[in-house]
Amino acid sequence: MPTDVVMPQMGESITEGTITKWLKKVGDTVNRDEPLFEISTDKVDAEIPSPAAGTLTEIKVPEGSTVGINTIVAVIAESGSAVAAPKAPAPAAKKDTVTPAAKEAAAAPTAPASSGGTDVVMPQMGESITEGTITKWLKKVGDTVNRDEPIFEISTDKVDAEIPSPVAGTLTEIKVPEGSTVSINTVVAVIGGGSAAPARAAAAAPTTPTPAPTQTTKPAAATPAPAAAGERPRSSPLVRKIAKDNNVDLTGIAGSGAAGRITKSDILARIAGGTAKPADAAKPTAAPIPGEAVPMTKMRTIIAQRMVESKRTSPHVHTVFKVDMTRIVKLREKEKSKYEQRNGVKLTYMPFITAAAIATLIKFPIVNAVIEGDSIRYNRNINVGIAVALDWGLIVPVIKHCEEKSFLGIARAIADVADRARSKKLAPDEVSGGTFTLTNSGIFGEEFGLPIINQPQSAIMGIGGLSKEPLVLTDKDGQDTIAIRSVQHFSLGFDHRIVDGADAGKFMAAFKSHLENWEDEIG
Amino acid sequence: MHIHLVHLGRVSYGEALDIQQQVIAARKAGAIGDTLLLLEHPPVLTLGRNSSRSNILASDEYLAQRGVAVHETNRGGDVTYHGPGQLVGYPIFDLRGDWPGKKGPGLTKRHLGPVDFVRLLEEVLIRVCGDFGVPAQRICKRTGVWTLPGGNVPEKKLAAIGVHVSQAVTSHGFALNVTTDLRDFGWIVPCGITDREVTSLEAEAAVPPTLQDAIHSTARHFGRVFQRQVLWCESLDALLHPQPAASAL
Repeated sequence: MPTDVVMPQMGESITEGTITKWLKKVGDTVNRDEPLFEISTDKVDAEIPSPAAGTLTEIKVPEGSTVGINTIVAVIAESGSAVAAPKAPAPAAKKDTVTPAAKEAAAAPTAPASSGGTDVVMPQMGESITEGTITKWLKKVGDTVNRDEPIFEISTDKVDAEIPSPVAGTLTEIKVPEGSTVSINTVVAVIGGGSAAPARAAAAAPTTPTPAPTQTTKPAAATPAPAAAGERPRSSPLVRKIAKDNNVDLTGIAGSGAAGRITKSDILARIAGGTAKPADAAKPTAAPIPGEAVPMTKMRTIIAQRMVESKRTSPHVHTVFKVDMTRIVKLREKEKSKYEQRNGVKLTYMPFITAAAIATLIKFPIVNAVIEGDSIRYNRNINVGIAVALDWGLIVPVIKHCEEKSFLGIARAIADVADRARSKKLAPDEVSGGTFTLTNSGIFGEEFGLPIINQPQSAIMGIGGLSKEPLVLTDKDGQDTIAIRSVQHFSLGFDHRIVDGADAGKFMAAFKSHLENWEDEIG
Repeated sequence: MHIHLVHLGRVSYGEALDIQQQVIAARKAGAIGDTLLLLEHPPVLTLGRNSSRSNILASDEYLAQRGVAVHETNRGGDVTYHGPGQLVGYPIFDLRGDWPGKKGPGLTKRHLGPVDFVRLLEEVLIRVCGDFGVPAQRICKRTGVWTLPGGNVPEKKLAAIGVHVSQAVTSHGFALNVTTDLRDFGWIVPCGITDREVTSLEAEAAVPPTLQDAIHSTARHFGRVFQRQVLWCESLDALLHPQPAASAL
């Protein structure tokens, strides 16, 4: 049975690779583990060894192409099986039983031309490439082409390549002239036609039994020919066993493997459906959904899971407060340059907000509490999680025992965990055990967000963007004026199982007052 | 003959005193050559021999709450403040060495007088200020480095100097305000001077100075004014306990 050679996955996060060089040509004999081709991925350049000994019968992906992992890039016929010479009885039938990956390079005709010829399509040269431009036809209509002989050149946004012919035959039709740009999988030419039969080997008798035409509907080119009557059909021991077990005669089954070998799925198909191989042609290889399917990273999967669980567990209610931050803005402006020189840490708004939150959590312990079965555990420690956005996801490091820390201590701790989160140096116990979370989505300029609670906590505070707004100020005589003030919205998402609207309201009112009338030492 | 430069980074005043003692002892013993220590202090007030406690305006509780210590020292001068952003230098020199402008009887007893030494320190600092585009001067009877007065703006103090000499070896030295938080000087009457203000290179220069730049400039000018080559020492340890292969002398 011929062996498919696939683009290997060189590492967990690697999803594609580029073939930089074929070390063997079609027709060469290869030994097992002998290097077959070289690839370049985003992390690794490597020689890829042959998975089997045999003859390299088909190179599906030319040098310079980038394909997704597990794409079939070549086929090796085991030693002893007929080498598929271009004019041989079993052209192109290497498109194996393995369902080709949607991103296969090299011409993959989706349905045979009505005349029976082979469609040549615009190949997809890389995962994200959606179209290509034919720069030059190397063959004219009427020319004879050998299999794998280059028939046209393309230019995509990443790659210029010569595209080899998928079959031997006569180029009967060029559908797309030079200079045109078409989408991948568009038919650009047709090789062979009604008269294609002569180009096929003698054994490809149109008298093939009924199964044969149905084989062509698979995304394989050319009618695979069953072995001429009288010859024992080539097949692997497994296939022979399956046939024996099911009392099926192998002769007369068209083999879709190399040299007309009957493959496992040929025999299974015969057992399953007898003659009619239902519309493989109708298979939606005709129209894959545009867009690439990128596997989710571990972090993303976990985030997805946690978010759904949290919404399912806690009845979320949100309340939003607008806070006049002018006093703090002015204080920070005054102190920030000397603060960093003196204390070695930048003075941002986060320590102010965090310190105010901590002071308020001390006053309203229900917001810092957690549900334990039928009880409410009032956490004695206040462990504040600060959500940090990373290039590759999101993480919430926790600052423990905040109730014991000074303003400067909080400022230092925030800078430290944010820094270590970004450089992936957090210890496991630093991302768990939180009792309250702060998330700052305001850096992008939003008014306020409605965040999802970080289970098993009971509340989360979303920090909105800081902006200037006109506000009504009432002085001590009761006179109202309008002034430009720095304003920030804070939203509290809370679990209504244990935090009621009144609790949340009182909490936020105290928090707002703490910030608006800031008196604490900042050190 | 060289000047060995050691950059200590930010060190508490107490720790720096200990270091000075070690270096002075080594210098007196002839184990090491002339050394310049450059460093920064966390906020601290120091009192010289001529000082009066009444020149500290902030209360003891206020200072204690902020963690600001008060040290009495054996250097000349009145009260001063040291803090982050201020370049502090302690040249530990043997005044009997080969220095420019030595005066004195005969050939063997010539040495650099303490006052002449202070004038040379002022010279170094005036040139350092010049590097940052700030013209500076010395003022008779007012040790230290001052800006030039302009219009009705009187001169302001950029750097303070207070030195101690024992057995011809100098200690303590100077403090140059580079990016010092000048508000902290409000805790004292600086050097006992009531009618003049303190300023910094940051406040006076067009281009914001950095402490690093000030260190390099100071090292350069020490070499020029004292006419010695300045050698950078990797650490205090390297100075005091040199590895056998390389001798720091």
